[in-house]
Amino acid sequence: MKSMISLRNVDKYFQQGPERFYVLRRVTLDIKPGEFVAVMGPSGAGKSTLLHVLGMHDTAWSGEYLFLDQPIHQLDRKKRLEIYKKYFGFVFQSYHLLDDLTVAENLDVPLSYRDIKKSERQAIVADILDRFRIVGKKDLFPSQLSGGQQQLVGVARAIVANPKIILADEPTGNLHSSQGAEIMEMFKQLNEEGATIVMVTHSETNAAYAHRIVRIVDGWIEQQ
Amino acid sequence: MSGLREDLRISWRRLAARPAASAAAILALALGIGFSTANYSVADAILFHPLPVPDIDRVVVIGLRLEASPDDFRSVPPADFSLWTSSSRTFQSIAADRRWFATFTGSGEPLQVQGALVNAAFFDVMQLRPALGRFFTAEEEHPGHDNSIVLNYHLWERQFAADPAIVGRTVQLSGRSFTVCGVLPKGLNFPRGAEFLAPLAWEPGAWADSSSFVLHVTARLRDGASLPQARAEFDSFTRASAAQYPATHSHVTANLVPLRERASGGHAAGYIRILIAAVLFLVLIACLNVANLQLARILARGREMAVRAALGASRLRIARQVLVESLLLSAAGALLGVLTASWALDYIRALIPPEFIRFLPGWSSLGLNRWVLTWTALTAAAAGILSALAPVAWLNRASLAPSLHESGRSSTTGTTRGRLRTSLVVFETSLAVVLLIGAAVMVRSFGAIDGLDVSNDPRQALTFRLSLPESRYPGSAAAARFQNDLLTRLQALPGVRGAAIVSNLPGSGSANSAFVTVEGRPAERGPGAVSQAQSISPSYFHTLGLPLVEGRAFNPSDGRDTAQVAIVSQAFARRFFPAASPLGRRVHLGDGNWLTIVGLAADVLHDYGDRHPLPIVYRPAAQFTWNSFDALVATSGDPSSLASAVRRAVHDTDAAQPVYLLRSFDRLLRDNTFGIAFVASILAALGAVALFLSLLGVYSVMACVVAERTREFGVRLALGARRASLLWLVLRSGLLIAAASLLLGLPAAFAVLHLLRGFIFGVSPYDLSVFAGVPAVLSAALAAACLLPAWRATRTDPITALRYE
Ligand SMILES: Nc1ncnc2c1ncn2[C@@H]1O[C@H](COP(=O)(O)OP(=O)(O)OP(=O)(O)O)[C@@H](O)[C@H]1O
Ligand SMILES: [Mg+2]
Repeated sequence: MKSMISLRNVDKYFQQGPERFYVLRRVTLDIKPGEFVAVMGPSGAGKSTLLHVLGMHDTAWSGEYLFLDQPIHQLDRKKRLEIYKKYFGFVFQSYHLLDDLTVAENLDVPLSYRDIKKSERQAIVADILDRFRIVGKKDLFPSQLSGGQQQLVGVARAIVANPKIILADEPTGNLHSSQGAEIMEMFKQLNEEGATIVMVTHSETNAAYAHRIVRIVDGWIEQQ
Repeated sequence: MSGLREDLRISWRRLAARPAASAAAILALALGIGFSTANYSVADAILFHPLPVPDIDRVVVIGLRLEASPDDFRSVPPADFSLWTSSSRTFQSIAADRRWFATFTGSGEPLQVQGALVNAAFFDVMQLRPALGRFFTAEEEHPGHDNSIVLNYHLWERQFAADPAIVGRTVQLSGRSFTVCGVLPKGLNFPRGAEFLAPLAWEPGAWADSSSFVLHVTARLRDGASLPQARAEFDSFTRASAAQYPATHSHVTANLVPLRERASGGHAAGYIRILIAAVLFLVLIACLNVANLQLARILARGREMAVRAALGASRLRIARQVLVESLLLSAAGALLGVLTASWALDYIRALIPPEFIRFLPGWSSLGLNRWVLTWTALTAAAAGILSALAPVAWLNRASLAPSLHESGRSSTTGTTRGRLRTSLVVFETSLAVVLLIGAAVMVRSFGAIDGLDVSNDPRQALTFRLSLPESRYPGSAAAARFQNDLLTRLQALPGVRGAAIVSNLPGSGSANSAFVTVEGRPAERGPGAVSQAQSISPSYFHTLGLPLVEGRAFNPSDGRDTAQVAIVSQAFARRFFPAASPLGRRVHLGDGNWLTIVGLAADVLHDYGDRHPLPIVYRPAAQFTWNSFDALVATSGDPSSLASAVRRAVHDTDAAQPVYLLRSFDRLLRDNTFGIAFVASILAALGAVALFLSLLGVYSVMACVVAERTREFGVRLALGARRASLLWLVLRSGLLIAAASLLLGLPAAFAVLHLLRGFIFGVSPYDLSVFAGVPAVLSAALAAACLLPAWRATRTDPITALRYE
């Protein structure tokens, strides 16, 4: 089967004074549609960086990135945004909920950027609140939630727009193990329904849900 | 106090660490304090210390008014004055004065000087000491002994080079010799416009005249007497006069006003109060600006402040720190403000034409005197405290938040402080809305009254005034001959399209009025029976460009020996002959001389303060001749090029006649609306500064908001937001500020203009173009102020924004 995502020799570095500090080195990676990939590695290895490159938030790198045969590295911002809105959902490592919006409003944000009618959006949000069993929290502000609850909202927000590919940066880091398992079950189900999932995790248990584990150390992908 | 020194040191370091924000705060304060200082010094010169008169609050000016019109202020007949001086118990002395335009001869060109005839009580009322020599005494008020005059300081400097040997010198005024006995103290320019004082010496019989409304009266309250007591006393006097002289005094009552209010002319005190109110608005706007900048400064150290505040003990200390910072800023603002003020005062001085300065008694003391600088210091201190108030209040409330959330996770204070900052800027902007609308209405009003509804262009006409002395022109035949000769000479000049004589030109600020009696109706003496009376040459309507609606104009054959005729204005016809044409009807003006109406003239607004054209009756100057009159010369080009030819024509008619107030007609009209022009231009400047300050405020709030929301913008971009949507997000909050400010500001402006409606002429105080235009301009300007921060928001790099932890 053809690759959905195809990275070729991706380098990323930060300039620190006269020195270049590489975070990603000649990363070459293929992910097929419907795959469930776990990205693992020590802290500071470059996992989040990789995920942001995949999610096109980070564009300051060199190399090639093909997404469904489209050369992301050559596209302008508008095209990239279109692709992103059509296919991607993102769970941030540090949740990044919007402080001034309620839980329900936070969930509505991705929908509001995607030409969906208001009434439809309300239905979708209600549905997702239900699925994550946080209906009771819908009018609370992020500051009124526990860390785990915030993470749950972050995951819910990533999948609310029904993405084809979910990029999740430690989606269960702050969750109770049973809650974590629930999220994993949900990912598994989404995966079975056709979603491609790339998930950064420190937990071997969670990694076991994946079809494949990509290990990354000091910016290098360890080839199996 | 060592703590205070440390506070100062730390404040200084903090202010220096954020130079842009500190500079913005100092700029705002310098503008606010500077303009307020400049205006205060105008107020000081015109209202607070207009004259160097001891206990000026005890001095009252007394005029007469029609019962129906409270703002009316008329001169007083000698009979009333006599009654008041002999009967009043509430005043220790009462003085009368009367304008006298005298021709000063002896040194080169004859010079027309405005002076006043006063009685000796004037010096008691003012409690003055001469700068030189002595004042004249009551003995010198009798005819035959009235040969002393007192010069005012200005005339002494200007005409006599401040020569100390002036006392005892003889001068010629309108053909009479006077001996200078003294010089008034510097700065005493009263009665308004008078440059010398001569004794008011009348035959005893003249003091019983009850029908010549010619005297200006000033008086000093006796110790223990109050103004309300005096008013009650004078009510009884005018009731007695009304009974005694029903023809002239019915419905007339006394009007007693503190001298301070009228020292600089009718509306001046009111206008000054408007300016002071406007300036207080401006200072408040500047304070709100600084409060916001201070708040941002504190929020930038948010966690540290919150933690410190949570420790409780240091809360007062933090408040003190904030206060010291604000006071430091306002002190710097005050220093720069004084510079701004001295610059603004130069501008204001240049606004006032030199010939006006005589009419503003306190103008010579305009400047940064000790009263003004005290005001500056007080405003600066108040501004420092006011601008610290909001941040300190926020600190007090904010101290609870971290103690409730021990973990120190993000809290809702983000929205509360956002709300506080937004409310400050909304409040600030709504004040600016009020100021802008007030200024715009004033400017519109000035534009509206500046014109006169006549067909000939006032810019192409020359005017001047002549005053023929009774001694050279006894009886009206001589004066009429002079007028005829002069007009013949003027009309013969090349470039002259017409020349005319009129007793008082429209817009000149003076008018004669008379009670009208219509033939076949009982004589009326109420306010409704009053008409303005003008004596004109036959060429007047043509020269002015005022159409004749019906009947005929005067012609040279309407002379002393032919039937007495009149032309009336349309307002006159509406008032006295509402049903039918006035042509052929007869009226008299109180003297029993019947005039046949032969023409009907279009209306002309004689004084913008009248709001509507008043009735006017015109008579041929040949049949009713005034010795003082205006001349109007219509030219086909620039009138100033004719000035010397006109002077020569007057000189050829009578070499001893000085030409007074030679200027273009346009200039005369502008001079007459000078007060409102002055106020309008100052208000416009204040409005512009207010707009600038509120834009500065909105800009800095938006810049802060964008900086604080960087992470949010990053998240939104990462969730798929288009960059344009971020631009709109920021612009929208700017427009919300504009909308909220207008919601607050427009009704407030409406209320303020309702209070000011008495000062607005020519346009409605609720002028639609202003009430629609100001919001449009403001919204556009605010959106523009948001553009840079908004653009910065769209530049957010999601990846750096998301790294924010
Ligand atoms: N703006 C930056 N400037 C310099 N170095 C950076 C910057 N952003 C990230 N890095 C470095 O890049 C490396 C990779 O960071 P990354 O966040 O991808 O790590 P990670 O594998 O996700 O770690 P963790 O498991 O702790 O989340 C780290 O060493 C980090 O210090
Ligand atoms: Mg990471």
